[in-house]
Amino acid sequence: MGPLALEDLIVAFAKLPGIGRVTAQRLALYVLKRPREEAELLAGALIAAKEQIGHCSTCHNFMQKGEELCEVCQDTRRDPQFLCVVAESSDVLALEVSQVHSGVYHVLGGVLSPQDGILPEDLRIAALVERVREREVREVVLALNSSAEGDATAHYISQQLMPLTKVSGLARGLPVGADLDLADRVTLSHAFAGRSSL
Amino acid sequence: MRIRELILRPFRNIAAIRLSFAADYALVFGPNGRGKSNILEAISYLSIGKSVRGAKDPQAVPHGEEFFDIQAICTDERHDHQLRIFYDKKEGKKAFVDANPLPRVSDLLGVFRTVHFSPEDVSLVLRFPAQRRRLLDILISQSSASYLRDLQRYNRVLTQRNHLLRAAKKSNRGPVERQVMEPWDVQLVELGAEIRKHRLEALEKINGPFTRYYDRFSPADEEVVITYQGAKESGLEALRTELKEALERRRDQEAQMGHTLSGPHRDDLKFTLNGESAEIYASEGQLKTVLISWKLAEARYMEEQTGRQPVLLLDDVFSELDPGRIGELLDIINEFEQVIATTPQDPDARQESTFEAIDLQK
Repeated sequence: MGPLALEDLIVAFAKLPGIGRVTAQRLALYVLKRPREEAELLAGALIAAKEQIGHCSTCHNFMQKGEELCEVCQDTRRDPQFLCVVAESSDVLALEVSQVHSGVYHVLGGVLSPQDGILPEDLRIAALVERVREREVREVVLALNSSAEGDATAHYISQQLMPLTKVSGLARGLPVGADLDLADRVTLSHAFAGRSSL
Repeated sequence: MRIRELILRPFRNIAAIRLSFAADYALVFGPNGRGKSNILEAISYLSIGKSVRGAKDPQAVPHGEEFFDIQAICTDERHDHQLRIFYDKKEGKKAFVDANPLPRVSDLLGVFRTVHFSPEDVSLVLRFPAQRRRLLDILISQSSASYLRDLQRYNRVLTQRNHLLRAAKKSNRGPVERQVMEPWDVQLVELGAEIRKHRLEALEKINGPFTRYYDRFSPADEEVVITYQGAKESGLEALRTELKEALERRRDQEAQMGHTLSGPHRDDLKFTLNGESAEIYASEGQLKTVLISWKLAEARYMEEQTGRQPVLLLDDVFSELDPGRIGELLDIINEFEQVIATTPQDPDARQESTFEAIDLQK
């Protein structure tokens, strides 16, 4: 084993998701090789993120602390009556990169999973219903994973929202650019069942 | 597909072995403890992606080892294909076809089909409901991709639903609120109805060949009937309604018991021999004949569903059968394209005329 500080750094990296001991070691040795400024930049960015990033009071997406709303909710070009519901803030990032959604978001903070003790009251569902009612939302898109838990969450929410607004879910099928002969059978059967006329 | 070569290094008690199956009928023999059953288990691993005996993957790793590795050369009419399952205690299980890793091990299902008979199943399968359900599940999974997916998803929903019920039982506050339960009920009903429909259809199709095979083994006046217990309906819509109503009816009871009381996970297959329940009244010999007939019928069912014959894997099938039944079985084996059987004794003259013998002692 090397010096203590090196070992501490390796252990810290290895705690990150998807990083094993070997990768952690490589990252730590890389940091050691680079100039001090880069290490300071990284350390500074870590602390700054923790200190400065908060959650939007309306949609619970990431935002700069001190602001009232996140960038999406502030943006007057976005349609506040067109709402996309996602499980986690990271889903907002993915959707924003693709620029497919012209409305605003609502982050639930997870999906229903009694096994993990997550029940409706543990998600931001009541706030969603209130928001839909108050803002007179025109349409809600449920952008949740097609797992048993994602579907259960979508079902629960749609039951709550159905009397108030139009509720839709994402289509399921082949990814664009995917080779038909490489698709798994489950995806193919979804794609086939949801075929559309041209 | 037929199997031409099997390489294990290692698997269970076999450190390393390479076997060729040049002939269509092979009889693996050798004293007990040599790993005859393990060879058939390994072959069936390549078709269902897991142990046909219901063992967990780590159990197939030899003592002191970290992994097992099963490889085979299989051939369809035109080409050779290399199939492989590699399991490592740390890294888990991976399946390969022609050296390409598959996204999921379950994607292997349907590539190389087998039907496996084992004498340990005789008492196990015909005496326990869970094993009888497994009999049907293994049969249908190999010929329908959607069935396996539905089954896996059903079990997931069931686990989640049971957690809600267990919490209700503990808190003693009566049934779970309807709106909390419903997201799981809807999925349970949808998937449960699909699973039951598949099972009922499979059972109906397997019944004919099953009776024909059973008749060849048994005295003329013996009649055996298989019935599915748990669902009365047969159409998809009716099955949905039936399961939905069953959940509704037992809502209070489920809150008291703390688990799901209706659905395909509770269903059963009933074997009736001359009007009496086979699991109670049948002799060991009769039960063995029932299971052999089921397995042969299973092979016919798969052939009908997929257009391809599965490979028959018959573990220790000849012991405890009288000469008449052995003769009948050897005749039936000739109707199949590939059969791999095992026996603890040296093959007798009749077996030698059918099978190529593979001696494990060498």
